[in-house]
Amino acid sequence: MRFLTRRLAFYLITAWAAVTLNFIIPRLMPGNPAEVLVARFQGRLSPAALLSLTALFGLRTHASLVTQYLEYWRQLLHGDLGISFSYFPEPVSHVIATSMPWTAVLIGVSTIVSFVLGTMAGVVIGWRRGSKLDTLLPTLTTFLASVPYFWLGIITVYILGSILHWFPTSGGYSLATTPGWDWTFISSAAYHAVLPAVTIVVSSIAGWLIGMRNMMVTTLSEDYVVMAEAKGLRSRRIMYAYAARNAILPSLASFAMSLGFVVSGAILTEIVFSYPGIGYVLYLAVSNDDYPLMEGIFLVITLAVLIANFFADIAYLVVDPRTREDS
Amino acid sequence: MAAVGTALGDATLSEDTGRSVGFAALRSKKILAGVAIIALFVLVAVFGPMLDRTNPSALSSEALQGPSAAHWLGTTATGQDVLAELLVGSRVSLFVGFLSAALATVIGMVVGIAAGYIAGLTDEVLSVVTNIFLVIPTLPLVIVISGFLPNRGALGVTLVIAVTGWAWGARVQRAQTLSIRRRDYITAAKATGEGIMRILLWEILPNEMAIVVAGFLFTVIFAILTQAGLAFLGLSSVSQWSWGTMLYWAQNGQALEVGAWWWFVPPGLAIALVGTGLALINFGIDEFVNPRLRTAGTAVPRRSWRKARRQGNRHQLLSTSLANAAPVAAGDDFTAVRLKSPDRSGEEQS
Amino acid sequence: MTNDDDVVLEVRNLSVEYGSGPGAVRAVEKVSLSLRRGEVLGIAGESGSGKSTLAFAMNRLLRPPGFITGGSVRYRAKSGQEVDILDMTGEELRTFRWAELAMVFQSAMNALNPVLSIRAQLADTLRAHRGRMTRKEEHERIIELLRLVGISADRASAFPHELSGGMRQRAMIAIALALEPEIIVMDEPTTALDVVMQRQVLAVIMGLRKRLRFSVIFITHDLSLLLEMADRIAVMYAGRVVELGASSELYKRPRHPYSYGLLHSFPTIRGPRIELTGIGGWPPDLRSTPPGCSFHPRCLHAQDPCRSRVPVLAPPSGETARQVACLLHEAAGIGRVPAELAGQS
Repeated sequence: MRFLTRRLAFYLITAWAAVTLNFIIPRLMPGNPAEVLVARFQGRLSPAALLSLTALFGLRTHASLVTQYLEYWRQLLHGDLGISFSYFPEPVSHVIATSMPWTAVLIGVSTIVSFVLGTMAGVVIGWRRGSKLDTLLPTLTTFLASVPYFWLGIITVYILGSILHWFPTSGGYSLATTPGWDWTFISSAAYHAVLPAVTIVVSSIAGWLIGMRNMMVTTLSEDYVVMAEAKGLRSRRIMYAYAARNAILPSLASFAMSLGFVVSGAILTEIVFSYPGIGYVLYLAVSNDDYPLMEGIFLVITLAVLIANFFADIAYLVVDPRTREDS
Repeated sequence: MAAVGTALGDATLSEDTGRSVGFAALRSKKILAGVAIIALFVLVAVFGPMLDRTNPSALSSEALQGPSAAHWLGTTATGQDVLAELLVGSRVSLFVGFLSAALATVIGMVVGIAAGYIAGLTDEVLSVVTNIFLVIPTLPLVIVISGFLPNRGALGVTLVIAVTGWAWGARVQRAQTLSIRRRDYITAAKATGEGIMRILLWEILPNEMAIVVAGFLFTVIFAILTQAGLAFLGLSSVSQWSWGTMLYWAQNGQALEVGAWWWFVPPGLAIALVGTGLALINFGIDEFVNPRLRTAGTAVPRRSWRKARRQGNRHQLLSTSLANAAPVAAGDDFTAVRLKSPDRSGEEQS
Repeated sequence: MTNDDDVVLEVRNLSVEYGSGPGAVRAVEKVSLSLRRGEVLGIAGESGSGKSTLAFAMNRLLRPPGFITGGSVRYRAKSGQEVDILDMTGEELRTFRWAELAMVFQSAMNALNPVLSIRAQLADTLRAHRGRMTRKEEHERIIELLRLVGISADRASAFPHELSGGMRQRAMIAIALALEPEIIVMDEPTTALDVVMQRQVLAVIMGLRKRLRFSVIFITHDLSLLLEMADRIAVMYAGRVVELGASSELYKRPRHPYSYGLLHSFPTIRGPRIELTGIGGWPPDLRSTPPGCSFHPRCLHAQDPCRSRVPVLAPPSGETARQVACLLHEAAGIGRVPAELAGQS
């Protein structure tokens, strides 16, 4: 439990840091860029909206930095992330809420698939070191991992979409259907999610595969594996219960860090596929200098990553008995 | 990717990292292949635009033409020569990649070694900061910073990447420093009154070189990809040619829909090849740092044996080398293989 | 007592190399030993002498680049049936292991799987070899095994890191006993423990041996331990056995200069006062062993022939129960046997 509370404390500190970064960055830049845009929208902004933007970006205010900071926190805790410029007059929180589920599902599924496939493949080729698969797979997957996500996405779209017409090349769902919880919509959404998901999996699988393989190799020379052999246990039992279960621990631990990469990759993938997730929205925000939306998305993504990390920590606790502290 | 990081991440390494493995490292096939690839690209970046003097920004009426004698890699929607863009773009891409990675590595080294060596409260604070930067997803952070940045040229991008990418190296350096710090020769150095700076420079640093180099290469991959990503998003100055900018224009010019593969394949391929080259070098270093990863049959290289001997570790010589003997295919081949040599009768082998 | 003719394990001319080609290291060089049923055979030597390699090789647990390059390891079952372990197929070896030959490793912290409970690691062996046990029988057997080594039943679900060092080592012994093997090979089982714990664990081992009547190969660098516990002792140096004999005899009258040096490297509480002389020099680098007798650079009695002729392990003149690999003791000896290495024992 102490392990979890320490991690939780760390995540809270990180969340605080992210919020503070959001606060500092616009105020650090010479000539507050938000000013310009607020000026542009001024006529159409309600006083409440203007107030919230002032709090977010410190526009034309004589309040001290500390007061601004406190005001910023107060506003955040009310769930007010400001008004989006590009989706004007929708509030940022609303824009994020509509696009977040798409990304969550896409990343969630892709990451799990990539992790499972990658680790299992790593176990197998780590077990049979020196085989042809062992020389081929890591190099191949490394190459794929060095490929920029979005480029891989472009190629995939080109081949599988434009040329072969197997899958749709853009959008989250067919425009002929309307969003709803019915089968036509869900199947259309799933169909549209295949290419982006494949892109993410292909790009990220190298990490899990190589990491697991290397750990398997290291674990296989540990004494407890030798003893397992000496005990006359069957190969399969040794591979799973003795080698793999110990080898996977660093992968779980680094799951957290990899999540950052996956998120980055997913953002770029969404852009290529015009997939209506939060990454795509971020892209639009950037293109339109939509600062409130940009910052809002950054915050939400960071929080989501922290939460995912926390779940990974719980999983680690379950798998490695050494982290559980008995009295 | 976590890939390369995992094996190195928290490894407590043998003392043979650094100087002794330097020369032996050059014999690894992976390292040679990787170095060859990178060297090729560097040469192309430096000399390419001088040899092919086509102006990449020059517009022409020969729009969207496939590869031909006149334009080896075809043209873009505005008639610009793709090959020229690739060559000129390689300079910025590689330059930003290596420079920002160098900066990030230096920052990481300072933070990591300080945290590992000074320990105590400094370590706690630095570790929290490092972990924060590790956990926060980089691309969104980079986007936010770049979004507010007035100067979006190469230098601005370099700074942004350096500031966001140092954390991984710092964490690895800290782990390594922590393990080295407890070694006897550090205690000996301190006991003989060596100053902190001397200890850091001459005792600790050389033993971390392999990890520093691996971390640097890894960060270069990260930097190039990030820079490309930023350019692709339009967050980098679009008038400055780089591989990422090419992709930006390709996306904007509907290269995909029009089927102009010669426009978007080369820049991505270039990035991928550079990344693979760097990763190969990293693999090679990985195998040296962790002898168990080396392929079957090779014992610990002689050079590191000699070094261990010189350090007066003769006693330990055989046991450590035996302990480090690399395993090969497990699975069915668990039991020791018997050499099919004709000496079963037990005759004296010479 | 043991029957001299009832040999349960016979090692003949076993050789092990690390690496291949000209750079290969001969870790074990033509070692021949026999283990009689019910006896404790001690193997003593410095680190690098090849004793652990020998133990692993006997059970074919060597990892590449270690290779067995010659010899045989014959096991004789109670029924009289003999089989060469080195000739077994994969499945034969798997069923043989632990059921007939079990091992206790040096460091329980490293040899026990950190993510499995002690119970699970005991159950492992039972399930792999006695598949037809019911859960109830399995549970009872586990409790019984733990009781044998003095671990209470409620610790069965503990993980290795939750046990003390001595408990872990005893847990390893319990695991080794799971299938009631004929032979238990112990590789430095108490080296990692403090002295008090050592005594305890050794007492457990010896007590169990009396009850369950298995044979033991006890490997250690601590000769003093073997003098107490072992029936016979084999002294190894640079991959070869240099002396082999009953422990009491070896203690009273060592024949090999190396054994003599070892015995004079530690003080004894009882017995006459001896001068601690130790042995000068370092163990050889096995990549380039000295020609002739590998011990000659450190030997106080070395003579010219020692630099070129390799001594063969054989009974010294006049004795049959002992074996020495030293030119001094060969029938056509190279000179007078020094007083300290001669005489009646």
